[in-house]
Amino acid sequence: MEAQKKQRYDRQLRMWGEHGQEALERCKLCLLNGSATGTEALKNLVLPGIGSFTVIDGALVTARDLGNNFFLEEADLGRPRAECVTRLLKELNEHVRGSYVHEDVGSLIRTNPAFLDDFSLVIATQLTEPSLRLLASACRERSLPLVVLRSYGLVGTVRVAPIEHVLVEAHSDNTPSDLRVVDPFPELLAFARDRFGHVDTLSSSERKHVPYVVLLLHAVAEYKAAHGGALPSSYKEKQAIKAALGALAERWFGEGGAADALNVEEAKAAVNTALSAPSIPPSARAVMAEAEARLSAQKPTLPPEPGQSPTFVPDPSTIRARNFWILAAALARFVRAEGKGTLPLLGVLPDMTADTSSYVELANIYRAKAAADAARVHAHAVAIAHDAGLPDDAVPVEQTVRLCKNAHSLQWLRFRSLDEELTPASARAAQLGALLDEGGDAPAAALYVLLRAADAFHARYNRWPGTMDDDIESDVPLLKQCVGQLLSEYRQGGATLTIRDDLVFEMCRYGAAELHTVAAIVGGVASQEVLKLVTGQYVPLNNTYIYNGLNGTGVVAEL
Amino acid sequence: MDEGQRFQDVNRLLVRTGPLANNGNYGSIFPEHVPFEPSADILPFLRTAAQILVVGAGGLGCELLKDLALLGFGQIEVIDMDTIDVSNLNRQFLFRSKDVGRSKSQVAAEFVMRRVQGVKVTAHFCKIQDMDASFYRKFQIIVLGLDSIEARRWINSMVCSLVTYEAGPDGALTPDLSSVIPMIDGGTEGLKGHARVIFPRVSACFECTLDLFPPQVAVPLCTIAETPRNAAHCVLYAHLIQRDRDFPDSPRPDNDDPEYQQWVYLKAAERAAAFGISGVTLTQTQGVMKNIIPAIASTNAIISAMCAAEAFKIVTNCSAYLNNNAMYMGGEGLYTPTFCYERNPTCVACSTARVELAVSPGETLHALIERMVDDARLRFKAPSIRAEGGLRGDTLYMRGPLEAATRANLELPMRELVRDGASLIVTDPALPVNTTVIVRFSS
Ligand SMILES: [Zn+2]
Repeated sequence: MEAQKKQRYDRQLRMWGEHGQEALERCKLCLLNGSATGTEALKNLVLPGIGSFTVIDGALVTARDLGNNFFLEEADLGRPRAECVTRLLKELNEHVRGSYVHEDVGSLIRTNPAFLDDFSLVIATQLTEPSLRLLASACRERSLPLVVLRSYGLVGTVRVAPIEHVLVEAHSDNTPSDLRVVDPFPELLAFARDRFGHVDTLSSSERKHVPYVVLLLHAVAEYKAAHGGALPSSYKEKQAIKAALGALAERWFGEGGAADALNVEEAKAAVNTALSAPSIPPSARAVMAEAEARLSAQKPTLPPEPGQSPTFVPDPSTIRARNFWILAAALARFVRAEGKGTLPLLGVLPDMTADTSSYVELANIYRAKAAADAARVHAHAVAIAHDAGLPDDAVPVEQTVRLCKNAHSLQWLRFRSLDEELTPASARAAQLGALLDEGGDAPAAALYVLLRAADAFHARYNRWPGTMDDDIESDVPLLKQCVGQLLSEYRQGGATLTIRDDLVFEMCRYGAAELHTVAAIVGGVASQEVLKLVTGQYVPLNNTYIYNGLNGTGVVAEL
Repeated sequence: MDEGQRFQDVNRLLVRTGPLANNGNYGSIFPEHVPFEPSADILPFLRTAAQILVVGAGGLGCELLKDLALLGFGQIEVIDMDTIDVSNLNRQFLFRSKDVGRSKSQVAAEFVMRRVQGVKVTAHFCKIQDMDASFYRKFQIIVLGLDSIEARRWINSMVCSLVTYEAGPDGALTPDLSSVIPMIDGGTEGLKGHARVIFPRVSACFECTLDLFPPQVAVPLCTIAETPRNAAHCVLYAHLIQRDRDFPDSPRPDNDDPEYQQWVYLKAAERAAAFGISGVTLTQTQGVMKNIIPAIASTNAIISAMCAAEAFKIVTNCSAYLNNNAMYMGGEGLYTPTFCYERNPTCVACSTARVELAVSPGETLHALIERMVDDARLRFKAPSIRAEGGLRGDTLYMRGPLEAATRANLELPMRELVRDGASLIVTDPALPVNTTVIVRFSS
C-alpha cells in the first residue's frame, strides 16, 4: 500500500489491517435512494475508501432535502438527487469511484432486478414494504448481502440481511489464554527443564525473573506427581496450586520477602485461566462440522473457479468464503489428527515478568510451535483443494496462518430472510411480545410494529400517516386499524401483543419525517455493519437494531 | 427560501404535540414536570436565539456541527486548538487534503456555513482553558466531542462552577435551574462509543464517575531500561531514555514530528534486533508514542448524532431525554445498553460537600502533594496550596514566581503548617476552579 494511503487510513488500518482494506477497496456498493438516510450511510463508507458506489434514485432535489441532507447544496434544487449527492460524496475521497442512475428505485426493482448483478453489496433506504420484499428476494437469489435502513420520526431501524456470513477475525475483547501448561508440548518442557531445571540454585534476583509459565509448569508437574498423574481441575484443586506457589515463594524469598516477586503473583493470577485444558468453543465446532458436511456433499459453495469462460472472475468475497470452508475442514482434520482434540496453538505469549533472553526464547518457542501447527493445517488445506480440483495455491499460506491465529473465534452466521420476518406464519411474534415488556413508555418492539403498520397504511392510502398538516388526528384511527390487522396476524403466530394508543398518536405526529440525526444514527450503524460484512472482520449484528429516539435508547433483536 | 419548508421534517416535532411528547422523564431528572408547548416560534428560536457550543472539531466535532446545523440550530460556536493532520481525513469529513495544517475549528466552521444556508458557526482556534466563565456562561447547552479525559474533566468542572444555588422555602439550598447548562458528552474508540447527558449539579457529572477512567498504568522504567521483552518496550526506550541521553541539550521534539518518529523507530528497531525481539514497525512505533485510538467515521456518526438528538430535545423539550448514558458496542454483534449514572455525594466538581483527606500529622507537605497527584479522586497535576489560618502564614506552597519563597515548607510536617480540620485551598491546572480539601489528622 502506498505511503500516502497508509497515512490517510492509519486509524482504520489499526482496526482491520491492510487485508481488510483490500477487501473494502474491492467492494462494489449499490445505494438505493439518496435521501439523508442513504447519504449518511454512504458517507461513512466513502471516507474509509470503499471500492466504488452507485446511487440509484429517481427523485429531484426538494427544499426538504436541503433541510436534512448534508450532501446537497442550494444550487441543486430541482435537479436529480442521485447526480447531486454523488457529486458531493465523491468529494470526500479521491480514491473512490462513484456513479449514479437517475431512475425510480421501486420500478427498477420491479422491471429489471438484473441491475443487481453489477454489485457486491446493496444498501436500501426508505423503501415501501412491497419494493423491499421484491428487492430482498432478488438479492437472496444472487447471494447478494443486503442492509436495509430506515428513519421515521424519532425512530430508526437497521436490518442486516445476507443469507449467511463467515468470519475469521472476530477481534474479541477476550483473547483466550493458550499456554499449554496442563499438556505441555515437548519444546516447552525442554525449555523449562534446560533453563530452569534447578530453580533452587538460582540467585534471589534470578528467581524473580523466572517466567510465570515455568512456575506453573513446575507446580502442575509436582501436583501430578503427588496425585497419580491427575490434573488440578476443580476450584479447590486450583486453590491448592495457588497455595503451592505461595509456599515456593516463601521458600525462595523468606516470609514476607515474596511481596515484590511479581512473577509469583502473575502465576497465581493466571492459575484459573491457564490451568483449564484448551477447549474448542461450540461456535468453532459448528463451523468445522459444517465445513466437513459441505465437503462431503460437494456443495456448490466450494469450487466456483474459472471454467465456464476464460473471462469469468469470481467475486473476491466468494473466494474468501470458499477458502474459509476449505480451511475450516482442514482445521477439523488437524484437530482429529495432530491436534489430538485441540486447536492449533495460538502462539502468543503475554508480557510477563522475566529477563529478556528467557522471555524472548520462550516467546519464540510458542511462535515456532504455532507455525508448525499452521503448516500442518495448511497441508490438509492443500490436500482438500487438490481433491476439489483446485490449484494447490488456491488457499494462500497467510490465510491459513490467520485462520489458525483465530481458530477459537471462527463463526458462521445465518440470517433470517425478510420473507421469514414479515410472513405471519414465520414472524417472531413471541420475541416481539417479550420485547414489548421492555422500554418503559415507548418499547422499541412497539415502534417496530408501528413502522410495519405505517407501511400497511401506505399500501392502503398511498401516503404516510400524519402527512396532512391540517388534519393529523383523523389518521389516528386509520393507523389503529392497520395496527389491529397486524396484531391479529401476530396472534396467528401465537402471541398476543398490545400497542398503546398514545404510541399510535406519536407515530402520526411524525408524519414520516426524516430527521437528520436519526438518519445519521441508522446510517452510522448500517455503515458499521457493511464494514464488518465486507472486511470479514468483527461480528455483524444479527439481525435488527431499533433506535428509539423517544428516550435515546436502542434495542437489538433477531426478527 | 422559506425556512419552515426547508426544515419541515424538524418542524413536525416542534409544531405538533401528542400524549408522549408531554410525557417526558422529568420525574427522574427534575422534580417538576415541564409540559411541551408546540409552537411555530420554536424553529425561529433555534435559528436565531439558541446558543450552542461544540467543544472539539475532530471526529465527533465535525459530525456534531453537521447534525446541529441540520436540526435547525442557527447560532453555533466551536472551539478546538488542533490543526488538521492527514490521518484525520479518513473520518473528519469537513477537511480535505488541501486543508492539512490549518485550524480544525476554522475549516469546519467555514465548510458548514458554505454547505448549510443561513447557519452561523463561530470558530475559536484555542484551548478550552483559554476561555473563562463569561464565555461558557452564554450557552444554552454544551456538546462535548473530546478525546481526552483531562479536557472533559476541566470543562465539566467549569460548567459545574457556573451553577448558582437558591434557598427553598425550607431553607435548603437547591441549584438554580436557570444557571444549569446541560452538557452532552460523546466518546468513541473503534466500534464502540457512548453518549451521555449531564445536568451539572442535578444529575451525575463527569467527575462523579471519574473512576470509570483509571489512569493508565505505565510500563516500569526498569523493564524498559533493563529487561525489554516486546516491541513496545523497545520503542519506549528510544522515546523516553535514549533520546534524552543522545541529545541532552536539545528540547524534546513533538510526538507528531515525522522525523522524530522515524528516529525513534530506527533506534527501537536496533534495540529489538540486539535483543532478538520482533514486531517493531513504524506504525507500531507511532501507536506506542502517541497512544493512538483507532477511529472510523461510522462510530463517530452514531455517537455524535445521538448527542445532537439529545441536545435538540433538551433545548426544544419536544420529547423525553436519555437518562442518562447510552453505550454502543459494535465489535461483537451489537449491544446498546442504557443506564443511569448516580451522583457521587463527595464529587470534587458538583457536590457542596468538601473533600476530606486523612493526613498523618508528621507527613510532610511534599508527601501530601505527591499523594494528591496520585489520588484517584483528585488526580492533580501541579497543585499550589493555601490554607485558611495557616500556622506559618496562609501560603503553603505556590508554583511560579513564589515557588522559591515557599519551597522550604515542602519538607515541614503538616502539624507545623496547619491545625486539624484546616481547609486547604488547592489551585491546579487540571481544574478551572479551586478545590477545598479539609485536613483530618489521623493519630
Ligand atoms: Zn459530580
